Amino acid sequence: MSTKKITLLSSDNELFTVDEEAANQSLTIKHLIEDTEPENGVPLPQVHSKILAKVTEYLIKHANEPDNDAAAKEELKNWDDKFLEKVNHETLFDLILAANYLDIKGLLDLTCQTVADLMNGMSVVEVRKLFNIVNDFTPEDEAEVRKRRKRGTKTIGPSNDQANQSNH
Amino acid sequence: MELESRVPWFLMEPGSSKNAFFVGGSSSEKVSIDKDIISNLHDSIIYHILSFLDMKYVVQTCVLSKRWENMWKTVPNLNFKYVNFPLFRKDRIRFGFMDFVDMVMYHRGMFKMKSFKIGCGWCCNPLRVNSWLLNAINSKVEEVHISVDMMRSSGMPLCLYSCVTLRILKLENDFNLLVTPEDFYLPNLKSLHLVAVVLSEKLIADVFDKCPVLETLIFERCLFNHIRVLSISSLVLKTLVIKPEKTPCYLHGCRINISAPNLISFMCRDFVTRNYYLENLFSLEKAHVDLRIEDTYVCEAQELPDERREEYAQRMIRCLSSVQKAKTIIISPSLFEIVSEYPRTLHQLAASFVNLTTLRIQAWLYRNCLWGIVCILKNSPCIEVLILDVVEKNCVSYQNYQFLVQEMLDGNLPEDYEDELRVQYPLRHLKHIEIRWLQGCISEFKLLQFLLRNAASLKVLKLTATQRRRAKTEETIARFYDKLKAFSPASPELQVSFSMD
Repeated sequence: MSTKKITLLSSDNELFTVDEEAANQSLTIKHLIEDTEPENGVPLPQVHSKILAKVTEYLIKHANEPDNDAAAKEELKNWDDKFLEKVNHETLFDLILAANYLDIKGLLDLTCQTVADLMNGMSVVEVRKLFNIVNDFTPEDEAEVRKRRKRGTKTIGPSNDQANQSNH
Repeated sequence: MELESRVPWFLMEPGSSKNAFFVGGSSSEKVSIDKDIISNLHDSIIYHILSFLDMKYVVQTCVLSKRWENMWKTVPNLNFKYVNFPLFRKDRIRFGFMDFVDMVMYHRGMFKMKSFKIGCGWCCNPLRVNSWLLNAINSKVEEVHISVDMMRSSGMPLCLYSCVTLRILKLENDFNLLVTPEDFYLPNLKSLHLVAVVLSEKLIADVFDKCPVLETLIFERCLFNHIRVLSISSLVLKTLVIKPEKTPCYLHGCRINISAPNLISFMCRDFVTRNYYLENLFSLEKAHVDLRIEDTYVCEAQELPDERREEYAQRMIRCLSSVQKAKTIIISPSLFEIVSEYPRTLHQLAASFVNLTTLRIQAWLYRNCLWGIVCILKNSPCIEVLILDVVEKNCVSYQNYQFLVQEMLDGNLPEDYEDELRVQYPLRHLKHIEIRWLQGCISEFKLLQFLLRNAASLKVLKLTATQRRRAKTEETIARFYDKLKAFSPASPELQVSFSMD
């Protein structure tokens, strides 16, 4: 088992050290290490120390994924839930971007799943409010979009749409 | 505001409030929390988020803002579940759901599709399901999960079986016979997962004949009692999972032949009435052997005839010896129970477990089982990790249960077993031992004594006890732990951790 250490350098010049095995979960870092042997740490100018701290925490925890052990899987899942429990939306999206940039599949899936879970079961108005999405449709445009989507379909259960429209 | 929200995120000045490019940088303090970050994400990330949502909610995003207007038409991963459509009147959901899927398919056209997952429920018209799948196939779909309830066997869409781009297929078919068409050919299929399907000999033959690159095969809750000989033979197969429906197979001669030289992972949870013959597993790394005795015998405390027991023991040992070269082995309770009664069978293990580094055992630890465990440990020269789950024996008769508990707590081991445990046997590589759901019984202590005395390089001993099983556990466990502390282990660097849940 290799215990080679890899140092990561955040955008604000903070250093983070992880085992090579943990770092290799990020394909970006893996390729960076393969191509060059950076002496003063792998530079990650896109990632702020605040986010990189979270990312390394994830990498270390997930370095040895259990594959057949239900109990260990359960424990890891609980850890994942706690890991993102107190994270605000902004950090969550920063983590998504970092996971995407660093190409860490597990973390990208986890964070995107978390966002999807937030949206699940919500009406349009609620989603807008949740993510501060500004409705840039004129009321006529919006009605048109709704109408166009419905075309060719009969009613799909009780739609949230009516409720939403009354909110405008 | 309106103008700003139309500027794509990548054109924005660094440091601007909408800047999402510098991850975490410049964001924290300056940006107030009420900024719309999600709309400024790259399309590919938004798609990724949407891939975890049901299409019902994905389609709904089109009215969020102009940025979102057409996103739903091009999402590459589609999930449809009929249960997300409220149950009002039967035909209303029925047509509501089907019309909804039709609408999405119509709007997205031939846009590249990665995955198409659909739970049809009991209500979908096979013709329309077929048309969605045709659409998916034309969109070069790579992964399909389809669950169909109550559909006549002929209803399973046949077009699926000749999809060239398909890589992953999961079929759930509510116990219908799966009929494969003449032109069955899936040249790129890597993974096939069948749930609640009635298998036929032709289907099995077709799968190995017409799916030349199939690496993963999973039979879950499938019925194949009517097949006398099931042959699984492949040069490319890497993962095989067999978890049949719980009804035991009453056909005594039912036989399963597996020959897969490149198989890496094998899992089987079945009744030992089915006779497994495993051959040529040269590449096997991970094996999970969970062969059970039929529930009728376990639950009704009915005695299994002796000669049958011996035959079962033989079968289990034969199975175990075919997976002997694996690095990780998981063994479940029945094996130890029945094999321990016929010690001779265990001596039949041809060679030792030469590659075994991780052994996980589930066992009810009454005295016989102990001996079986020790026997395997002695045959595993490279073992590094041992995980033992002490499980409860599933016996319905209360007296029987009390007897077992009593025996576990204070019964002494027969002389010859004691001797077996006293023998010095160096477990040189054993570093990590974990015992879960510890009961505090005598056989556990004996086993631990054996392990601690022989494992000279043991680093971690993790014990977890449970309070859930019976009263007074706390006391028993405390006593157990005191006794354990008094014992001096062979390894100088041992760290013991102990917890209660």
